[in-house]
Amino acid sequence: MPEIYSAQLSKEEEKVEERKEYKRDFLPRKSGGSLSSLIVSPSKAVKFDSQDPEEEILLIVRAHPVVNLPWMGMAVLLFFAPLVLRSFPLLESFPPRFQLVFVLVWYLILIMYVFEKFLSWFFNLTIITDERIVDVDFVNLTTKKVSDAELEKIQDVSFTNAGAFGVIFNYGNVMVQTAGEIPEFVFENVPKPAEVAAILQKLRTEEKIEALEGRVR
Amino acid sequence: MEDLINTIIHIDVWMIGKIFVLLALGVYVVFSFVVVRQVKLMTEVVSGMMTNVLRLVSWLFFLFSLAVLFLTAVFL
Repeated sequence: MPEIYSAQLSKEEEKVEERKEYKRDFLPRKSGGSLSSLIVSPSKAVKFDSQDPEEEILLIVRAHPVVNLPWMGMAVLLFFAPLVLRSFPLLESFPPRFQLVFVLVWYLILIMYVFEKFLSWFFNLTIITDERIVDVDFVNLTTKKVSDAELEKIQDVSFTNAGAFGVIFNYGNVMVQTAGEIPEFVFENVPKPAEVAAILQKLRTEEKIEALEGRVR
Repeated sequence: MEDLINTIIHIDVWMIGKIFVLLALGVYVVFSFVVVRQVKLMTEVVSGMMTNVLRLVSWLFFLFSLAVLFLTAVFL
């Protein structure tokens, strides 16, 4: 009897511990690695440059991996292109050493293309903290843009889930209208847009309650 | 005049080709260095997500393009 009782208690304790770990009920469980497109409660090692010491990252979202398929397909085609070109005597008038260099340059350009596309997917992300949303845009290899808006300045959150792929893989755009300097944030092709929009709305409500209670950091 | 024509006739076309290839590879090396810098900057903006792997790949990429430039200059 005492054993059963203690077992029940430990389960209760586990639940309490779990609740401590996941303070916000509306947040999904901690999940997602560095390459994931929806990272919930990332590890403490993940930081961004303008992060306040007590600011906590709740969610990191980037485009769904499916959106990478077109450039990946293109990269595969480009990879095999020199083999196909062997059938056409385009380079035969060049000495063999030049032919080799052309093929080498081709693959160098291909590597650059793949790396640039990967980086642009990897670093185009939105960080949602308990205080604000930070939008990081890697426009191209020479341009980056970082903008943020406080959660309490969010006025409206909406989402679209359009297209066959969008419906099949459940990704879409989340639009956030703010009263801040940047009037609208668009998180493009993010997975589970409805869930992300709902989390943002709940965080906004939480922030407004905090402001009413005077618990603003 | 005749000397000039002779010089023009005896210009090695492949040498000019090599110079152009080296110029293109030089531009590529500069560009790959831009990638190294950009990866460093981006991993500073958001750190803790594959930071070391991305930096390593960008440096390998730069060193590889430098090696191709060097080998082309020597063997082409």
